[in-house]
Amino acid sequence: MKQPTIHDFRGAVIRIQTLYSTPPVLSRALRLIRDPGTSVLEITELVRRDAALSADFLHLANSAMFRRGTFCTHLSEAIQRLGMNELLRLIGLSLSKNVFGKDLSNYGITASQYWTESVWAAVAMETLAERHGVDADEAYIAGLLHQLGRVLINEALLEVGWSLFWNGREPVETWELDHVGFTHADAGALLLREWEFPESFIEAIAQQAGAPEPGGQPSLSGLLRFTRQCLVTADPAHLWRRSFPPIPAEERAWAGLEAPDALADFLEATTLSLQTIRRMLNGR
Amino acid sequence: MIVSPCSETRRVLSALLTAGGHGVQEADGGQDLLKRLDGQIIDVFLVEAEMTGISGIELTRRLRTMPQFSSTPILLLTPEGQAEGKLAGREAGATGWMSRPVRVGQVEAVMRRLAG
Repeated sequence: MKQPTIHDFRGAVIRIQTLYSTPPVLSRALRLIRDPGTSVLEITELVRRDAALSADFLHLANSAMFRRGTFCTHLSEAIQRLGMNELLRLIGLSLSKNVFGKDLSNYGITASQYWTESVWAAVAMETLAERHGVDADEAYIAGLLHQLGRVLINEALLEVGWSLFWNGREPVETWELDHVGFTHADAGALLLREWEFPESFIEAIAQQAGAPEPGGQPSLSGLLRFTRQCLVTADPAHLWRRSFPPIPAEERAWAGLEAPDALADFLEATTLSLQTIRRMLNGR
Repeated sequence: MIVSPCSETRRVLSALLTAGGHGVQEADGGQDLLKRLDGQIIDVFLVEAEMTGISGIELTRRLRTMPQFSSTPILLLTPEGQAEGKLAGREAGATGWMSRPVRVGQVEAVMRRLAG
């Protein structure tokens, strides 16, 4: 029997594009924020076009984490007060509620675990990017969306009509290739291309599997690989117990975290940030 | 072993499996299956997820407590296109799922994968 390819699942791609309205907004926001000529009015219009995003935006802008001074009731005021960088994080968090709201049953991942892993990766990526001089905004969004392809695979399996659940022991890519003929990295890259994300960003998502290249320059792709190593080797539940398996010495060195305390501090700080975000989003 | 209260589902699955060279047994529900398990050697369970009485998920849970079936593949039969309920099935110990109505290629693919 012919092995399927990602192009055999066009229906699943279209269903996801219909279901999720926020990723294209995030893609446009990334482009606007990189353009020094962008005005607050343009950004406000972009956010206003999505009713759910606008509501989330005002709610989050007035939360303890983002609130600056008095309560904001207007989008433009909130955007001006927060600044462009915080804006991306807010859109990202709103997106995380939209996209990570469903269980990934074939992976054995609940919506809550999926959200936890994705936001943890976003925070870790942002911290690493700031240390290594990589674009922190792109890094945050790359961490947040790096597993987006799993949503597509979960949908595609409904079209296949059967699946053995991923047992968590074999590499997830092996299981994905056996079942649908492509990996979540391929699927994520395809979705992000449909949503017109920058090519450098798509490339990092597509190449997320494996370890960072030893001696390679810090890059979005390398940072994502390192972050993913942290997640792949850790049970999601470990994120809450703050107990992490060892990460190979050469990878720690690559990330500038060779000292045991440096790695522990980084992981601890990431988990604490995640807990703050969770509290802010009302006890997710 | 096919476990389904729907005689049509049992008939179709049985025909497909028999054509593929597999021996088939049938039960019309969880109670019926549990009564007939003594001393049986079963290679694969195909269990309707939604059944009155003992549900497919509860049946899976019970089968997993029996040492002789602790690692026997259990596939839940679910309505086509339905994403809900599968996670609960996985947590109960199911190996996977197959959607109804069952197609020829699906059964072949599942049995091949389980054999591999």
